[in-house]
Amino acid sequence: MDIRQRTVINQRSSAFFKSKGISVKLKRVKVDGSVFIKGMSVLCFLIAWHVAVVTDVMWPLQFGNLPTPVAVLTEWVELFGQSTYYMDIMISSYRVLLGIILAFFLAVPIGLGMGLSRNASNLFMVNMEMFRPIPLIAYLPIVMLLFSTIESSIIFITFLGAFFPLLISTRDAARRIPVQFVHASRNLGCSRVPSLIRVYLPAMAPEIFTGFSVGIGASWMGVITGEMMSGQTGIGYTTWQAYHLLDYSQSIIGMFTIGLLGSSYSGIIRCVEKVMIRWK
Amino acid sequence: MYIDIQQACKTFQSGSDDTIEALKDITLSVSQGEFISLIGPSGCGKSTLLKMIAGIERPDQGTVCFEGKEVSDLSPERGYIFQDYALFPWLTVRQNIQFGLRHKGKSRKEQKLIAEEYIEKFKLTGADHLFPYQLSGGMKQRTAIARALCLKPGLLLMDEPFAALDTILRYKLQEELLRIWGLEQVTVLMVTHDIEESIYLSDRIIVMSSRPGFVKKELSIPLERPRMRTEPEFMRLREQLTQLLREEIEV
Repeated sequence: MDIRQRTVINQRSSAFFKSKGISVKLKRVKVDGSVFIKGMSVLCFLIAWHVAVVTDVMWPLQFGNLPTPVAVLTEWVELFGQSTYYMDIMISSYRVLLGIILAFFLAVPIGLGMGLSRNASNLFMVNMEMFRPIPLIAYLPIVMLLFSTIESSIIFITFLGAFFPLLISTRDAARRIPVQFVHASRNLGCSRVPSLIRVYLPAMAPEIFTGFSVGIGASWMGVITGEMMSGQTGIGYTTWQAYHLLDYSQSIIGMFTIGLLGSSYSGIIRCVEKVMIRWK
Repeated sequence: MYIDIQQACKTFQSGSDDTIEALKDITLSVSQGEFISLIGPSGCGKSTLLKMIAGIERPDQGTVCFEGKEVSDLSPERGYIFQDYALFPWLTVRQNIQFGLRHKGKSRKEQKLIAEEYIEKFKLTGADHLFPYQLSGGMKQRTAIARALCLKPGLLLMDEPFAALDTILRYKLQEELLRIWGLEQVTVLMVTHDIEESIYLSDRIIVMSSRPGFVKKELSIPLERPRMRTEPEFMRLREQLTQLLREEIEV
């Protein structure tokens, strides 16, 4: 039974359930329908790519230069058996993880301070507004000079990517904490310092998570940039290196891997958020 | 005196050089165990007065004393029930109730026992694991009161606690409040704009004038509890209070 047939059957059964007033089943049928559309859209993309390469389209874009999807997928399947592929993924992921952890422990306290105290805000504001708009790639030359190892400079770039979104969302969250929470906590005997942990942090948690998902995206971009420009390991390095070696399939595989990992990181953050913030 | 307010004044800044005189020469004494209502037209500063007793606001002039000491900050001795209850949304009912116990130097075991006691007392059994967004208005309020009362405050301050509730629920919670008041031996100071509510509940009603707020009249309610909203003396008092408040609005 192919997908199309199954969908027709599902549509029929959905009408049946609707007439019986059963809504639980309907939800599943709906999911099947959207899975079908999603699957078709990916399939269409692959077919268009294949046709463009096979017919050697050279204008407006030079699709003729690319490998076919079949060639890419075959090579990808082969790669799954090789440890270097996993090593690349692990190395890049480790860099992002380290960068984002560092960013969290620095950005949250500073953001909290900036949100709560005007002086702290003034202290950091001007510098922050100057450094924040700089694209990560533009930091690279100076960062390379500052850090003695390439590894540490790449981690610093991933740290920077996550730092600013986390800082801004923490600062704004701290400014938006309803005053009655602060009053209530003091009224219940919780003094200022413990209330930072017991009241401020949980109240800010949803917005910090928003900062996290933006931050991890930026961090991921940062790590790829760093690896492409200066690395000797990692998925970004491999992707760029493959281009020099004229192994275009490898470059495409690298791109897709970067994309898939990026979206799975956002997915992980969303999952953690769902587990930790059950009160909304 | 349990609470002693002497000539307290409070002015608020509004805009650059405009000021609003919220409270003027408030002098008020409350004895331990009393149930007091503060009533007055909206904007008369009754909430400000309550906040001053709680320690959220400070008077510009005059003094607010609680148990002989000047009020300088919020304290668990003076439980404050916020108008929207200010429950912590990230904590369950049980955790909300338990919040303050940790700072009272209670052991974990004691904290649990006390929380359990208050969950039962406030009929929250079965709802103890729910988050505030899952609660009805009445349950939220009971949680807020339980959270304050489990710290054994001498005084309970309530800012329009029943304003957002429908009539039947309001009657029920008023009963509940009287029951708790009898049970816990607290002094209660409540801000309200509901005349009937104030007569039904209070030993004494403080009528405030409209801006700037000052104490216009103090009215003792000599009725026996439980009170009937339909008895003649109740009706007479209601008429008298309505008259007093109407004067304020027409000024």
